[in-house]
Parts: sequence; structure tokens; C-alpha cells
Amino acid sequence: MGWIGLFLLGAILFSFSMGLRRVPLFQESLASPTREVTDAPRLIPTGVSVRQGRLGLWIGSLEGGEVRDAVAVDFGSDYPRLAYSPRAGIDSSGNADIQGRAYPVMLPKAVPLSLVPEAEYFSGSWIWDRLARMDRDPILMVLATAGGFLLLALGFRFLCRITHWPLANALLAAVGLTALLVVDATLSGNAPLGTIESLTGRMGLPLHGLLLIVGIEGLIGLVMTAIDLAAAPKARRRLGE
Amino acid sequence: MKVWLGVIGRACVEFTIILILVSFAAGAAMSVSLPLGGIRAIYKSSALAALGIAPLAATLTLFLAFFSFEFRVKVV
Repeated sequence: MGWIGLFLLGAILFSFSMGLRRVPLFQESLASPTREVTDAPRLIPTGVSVRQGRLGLWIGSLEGGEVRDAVAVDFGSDYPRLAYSPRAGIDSSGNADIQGRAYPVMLPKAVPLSLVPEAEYFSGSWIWDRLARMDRDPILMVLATAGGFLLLALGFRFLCRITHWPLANALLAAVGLTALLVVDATLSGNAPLGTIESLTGRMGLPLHGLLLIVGIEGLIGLVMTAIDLAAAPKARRRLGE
Repeated sequence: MKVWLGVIGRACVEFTIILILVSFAAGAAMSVSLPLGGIRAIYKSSALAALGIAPLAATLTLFLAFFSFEFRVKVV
């Protein structure tokens, strides 16, 4: 009975959360960008000497698509000399002509640093980000995604009575909440999803992509709930003693 | 049944409180990067953040409701 109440509560809360995003008033707000992230190349900072590889560059200012007071040194040459140009235009490849030689005056694109390449396995997204990306999807798919996550979350109910001590149970529930979010995000990653899809393909199951995640989460949640319901009366008697 | 509905009602109030707190924190963090500052920017960012972060608030409320259903509703 308690499980049904929790499921009803979760259904109310998730439906409200999803329904709020589909109200026309909020959809207009969500459609308007709050910030613009540009990937365009940027000029090196002016008034500061910048080292780019073996080159040293200094630019006074940028005016009308031209750099003013550009100074460059090639430290890689046998006899490094200062090259100066009072004004130099920037070509399409981001180079400025300083005393007859093209010097790169744009900052190089940052190379994404991958400290642990194996961490790509955990490249999934959080449940709220996934649901936010589904604004244009059919409402049934959104509800199915939320439903799978809800069933998985209900499987963690045993944490509220796992030990004799209420504070320990609260701490374990907090850890369980974090684990739930991480498990859900990991399952939605490309690598785990691809592995599971290939496995289900060999087994002849027609599920793939989003529905597969929903199915797995729902199944795990229901199995955990079944174990919990079987063990709950004993645990409650133990806590009541 | 009455207690059962009461727990759901309390959980909905908890959801509202959690959503307001979490979205204000997220909105304040988001408004830092906006060109126009001020309290209105925080309100607007919080409202937008609330729409996105509501599933997280729902999950937090659900975990709190585990305890409510366990200790306030005496149903085995």
C-alpha cells in the first residue's frame, strides 16, 4: 500500500514537472536564449605579450579589423629579431602581416583535456537534462522516461529502514540518492547503451535507445521493490522491538 | 487513508519548498554570467532554472517521502 502511495506521489510530482515545461507561457521563455556561447576564434589579448609556440607577440590595440602597433619575435630562428608594424590587417586564417611575414594573432582553439579516457564510459546525462531535451518529443515518451526513473527510485526505499539507527538510515538514503542519479546517468551514456543494445539485439528484443533505458531502469526498480516488499515485514518487526 | 493522503499533501509542500530553494541557488549562480545583473535577473534565472531542475526536486522529495510513509503511515 505504501509503495502505491509513493508511486502516486512520484507520478504527481513528475507529471507536474513535465507539464510545467509544456505551458505555452513557459515554452516562450525556454525558447529564448539567455546567453550566447560563441566558438569563434578570439584575438590574443592586447597590451600583453603572448607566447605562441616559438613566437612572441604583442599587439597594442584592434581597430576596424586591423591590429595596431604589432610586435613579433621568432625565438626559433638563429638570430631572433623584433618585427614591428604600426598597422596590419588580419586575413581569413587569422594571420597578421608584420614586416612581410604572417604571424598568427588569434588564440588557438583549446584542446579538450582528457585525464582519464576510460571516463568516457560515464558520458551520460542527468535525468533532468534528458527530460529538458525532450520538450519537442511526444508526451508519452517523456512520461515513459520519467516512469522508468521513478520505478528505479522506488527500488531504493529499503534504505529508510536498513539499520537500527534513524540517522544512519538518513545518511544511507542520501548516498542512495546520489547512487541512483549516477546509475541513471551512466546507463544513458553512449558506451553502456551501445553494449546493452548489442546484447538485447542478440537476444532478439526489439527495444533500443530511450525505451531500452526505461525498460532496464523499470526492471531493476521492480526487482529491488519485490525484494524490499519480501523483506519489509521482518525489518519492521526488528525496528519495532 | 486519511493519513496516507496527508503524507502526500505534506510531500507536495516539501516539493514546493525544495524547488524554490534549489532553483534560487541555481538562478543566482546562472545570473552571475548574464550581462544585466540585479534582483530581476536572479528572479528570471531562478524561474528558468526551476523548470529544468524540477525532476531533481521531485526525486529529493520522493526520498524524504520514504521516511514519511515508513514512520507516519502504519501500514504493513
